Amino acid sequence: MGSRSTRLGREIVLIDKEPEKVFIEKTGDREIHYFYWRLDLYKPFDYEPVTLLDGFLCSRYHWKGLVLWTEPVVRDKPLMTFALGVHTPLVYSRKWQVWLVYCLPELTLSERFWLGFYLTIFNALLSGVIKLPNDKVFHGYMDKAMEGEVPEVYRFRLKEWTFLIIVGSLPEKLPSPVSDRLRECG
Amino acid sequence: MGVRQKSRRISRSRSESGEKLSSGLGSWREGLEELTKLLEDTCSSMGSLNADKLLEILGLVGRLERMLETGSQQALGSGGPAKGGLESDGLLLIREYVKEAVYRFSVGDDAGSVLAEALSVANALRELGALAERGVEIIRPEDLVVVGYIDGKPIYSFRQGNSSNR
Repeated sequence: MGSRSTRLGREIVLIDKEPEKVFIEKTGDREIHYFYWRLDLYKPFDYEPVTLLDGFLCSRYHWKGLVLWTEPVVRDKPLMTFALGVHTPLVYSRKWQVWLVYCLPELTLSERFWLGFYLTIFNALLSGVIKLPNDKVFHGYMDKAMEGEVPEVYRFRLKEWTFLIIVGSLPEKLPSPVSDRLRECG
Repeated sequence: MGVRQKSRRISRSRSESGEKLSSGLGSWREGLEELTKLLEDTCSSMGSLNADKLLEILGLVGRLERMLETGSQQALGSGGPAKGGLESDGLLLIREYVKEAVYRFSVGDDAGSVLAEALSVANALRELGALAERGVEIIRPEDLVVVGYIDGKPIYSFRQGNSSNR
């Protein structure tokens, strides 16, 4: 177990699954790491991004959700798994406290369903009905890393989310890109 | 096959599907398994996709929707899904994806991506069912309550609180 540094940078998290590749996109001083699978169930291509926002680990949920993980379990790096066959990033957390903030209050049918699904998973974690395995081997991924851009539609747009989920304690101050987005919301 | 010919096939198949539907409802769980299997089979053999298959999927969705409508405890099971719950949204979403697949198929476009979306939703419904059987409350976004504000926006969380001891 452990992260390593390459000319492409260092891991943001440690993972317990095997993506086919990890694309590293650098914009200014921010890196976004996209975990890539050729197939997600029967859908071609899946890019699951993570990045750091003002020190907070951040992932995407089902296109329109931004997820901030404020209290990850850290062993050198935060531990992250990809759950439920659809590669949903789930970061091991010291607390399963869940908070939701809407940017746009009117969700589409798809957004409403998938948000409810995600909330139910957290409810199951919170109530102890499901537990993430703790004996998994977490590892780095720089051996699969490659610098490059992902297709435009899969890019992680930090200011285009519809809802924000915070897992862990509420931070005193939100990362500035998140605050900026909230100010722009209706 | 031209659009007109495909439309004819769809019309004929609709009545066949309707006959099949009247044969009995079965249970929610069985119906969901059947729907998921059918979507899996369809997604894995897109080369042989036909209108009958798509209408069979819509028929199954309708069967499950009627179970939720009637709210039969026998069919849904104790603690099972309810009308207006997240499961209703999921079924409606599958219906919308399959309707889109019917349209795409009828005009000769690729229906695979929308059927894959439908399959993802069906798999999620199965996961929800398994959690419900273990006593997990299925949460809809509207079940959350305002617990405070951050940057002027309301913060929502679980009605029962976030304590792990609840």
